[in-house]
Amino acid sequence: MKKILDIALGLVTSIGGFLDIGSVITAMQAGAAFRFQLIWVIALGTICVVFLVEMAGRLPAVSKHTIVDAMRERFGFPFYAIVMVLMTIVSLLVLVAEIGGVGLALQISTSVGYKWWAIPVALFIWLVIWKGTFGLIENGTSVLGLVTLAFIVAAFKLHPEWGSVAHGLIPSRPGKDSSGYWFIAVSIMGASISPYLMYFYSSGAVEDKWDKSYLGVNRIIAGFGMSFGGLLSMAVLIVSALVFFPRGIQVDNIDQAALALTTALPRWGFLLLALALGISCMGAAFEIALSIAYFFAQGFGWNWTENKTPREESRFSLVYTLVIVAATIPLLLGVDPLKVTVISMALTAAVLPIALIPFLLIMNDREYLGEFTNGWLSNSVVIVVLLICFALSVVSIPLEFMAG
Amino acid sequence: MPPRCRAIVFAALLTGCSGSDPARQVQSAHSWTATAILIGERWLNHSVRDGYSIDALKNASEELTKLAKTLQESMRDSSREKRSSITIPIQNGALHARQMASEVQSTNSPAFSVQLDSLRAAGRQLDRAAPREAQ
Repeated sequence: MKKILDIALGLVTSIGGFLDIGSVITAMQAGAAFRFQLIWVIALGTICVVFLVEMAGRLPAVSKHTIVDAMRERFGFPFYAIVMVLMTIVSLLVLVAEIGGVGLALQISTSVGYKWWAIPVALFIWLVIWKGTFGLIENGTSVLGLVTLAFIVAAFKLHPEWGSVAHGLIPSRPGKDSSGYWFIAVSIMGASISPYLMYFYSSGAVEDKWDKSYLGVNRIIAGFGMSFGGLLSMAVLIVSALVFFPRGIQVDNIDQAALALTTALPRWGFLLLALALGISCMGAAFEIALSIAYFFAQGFGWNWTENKTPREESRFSLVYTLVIVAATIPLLLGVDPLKVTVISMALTAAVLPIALIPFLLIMNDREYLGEFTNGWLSNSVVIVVLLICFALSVVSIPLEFMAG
Repeated sequence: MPPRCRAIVFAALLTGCSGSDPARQVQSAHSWTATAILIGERWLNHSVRDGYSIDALKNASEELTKLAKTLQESMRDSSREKRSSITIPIQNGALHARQMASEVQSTNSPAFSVQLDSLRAAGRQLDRAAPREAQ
């Protein structure tokens, strides 16, 4: 019975917690600029994330190590320190975008600018992490995050030509703006395969005391939950392709994104979009702030668990406190959350190999996994996708930067 | 690219560089005009809040004004006629979007509809002068 409840909660978490500002905005930009042509990137990212999340759960269930524990032990602290610094920088940028995303959702709902919301939102996030438990943070926001299912309803209500949608699953070259096309492709990859998600999931498996009996649960959550999450991202793209593309609207401002659901759901679409954006960014902000604290605490061997009081793990609590403060400052200075989103997603894709290839090596190490090491399929899928990501980011990021 | 230049480009992106390519600026003008039209349509059928509509229409108007000015500068090698055929509809669009924001404030739907029609006309004029990129 407990396993069934775990599966149900895991699926809700994967679905309700899948979207964040990165996946919403990159999918909207893709649909608005290239109609259904970039759906294949979401599909590719989702397949890769299914394998990676399954690995991130299997490692702690079998070896009782989180990814960070194993990486530090296997490669030594100096190597882990490089990964930690890179991951912290990129995750911090994503956190700026997520806190800004909550602010933008509040801005369109209240007409009070996102800058004014930065401090209240940051304080709320900090307070929930300070007072809350892992279960509350993980499950609470995910249940609320089910509001993002509105995108699926809207996609069906807009009656897309499903043949054209399916055609988008086949990779194709753009007819216009190649640098923009590949840059959005890279950003979608970065949004789909967020490395912090793997680190958070593996820490969560230790928090929830997973053992080998959870391998099946893990497989179901990773397979079904993440796949359904990928469908949600595709729904965002489809809605954008049907609302914005025919009108020639580019999504580079929240005022444009805010209109996405108003065609399919004229009465509630505006409110649902604000709720979906606000809740999904809030959930992601909790996860990122905690993930960075996990990087440090597990890396330096401090006490860490979200289930104890801050007094019992003061250094862990200090890290997430400082991280939330650091992420709030750029927003107070007027940095545009949507621009940070696009840049941070592309940078995430660029650092994926550094963040995930050591993880892949651990997943093939019998000392940690015994008979549960990776098979050829999971290794091949992840390596191929990471190489594609890296190659695309090396080419498209400078091109897009130069194009302004 | 040397690290210093990369840092400058990165900072420019974060603070809102909209690209120096006139073609991208025209695309952006099409996009903001279409955005203002969609906001107008949604306001008329009560799908969006008044506060949002006012802010978003004012924002669209500001963006269009900025784009018209930037295009005047970046198209200085084009003939005056060609330049005006593009920048005038953008300036008119900015004006109508600003007017629409005022009409929302005074909840004057008939006057709002008149401005919305004028904005649509400005959009069509811009389409004729600089057709949208092939989709």
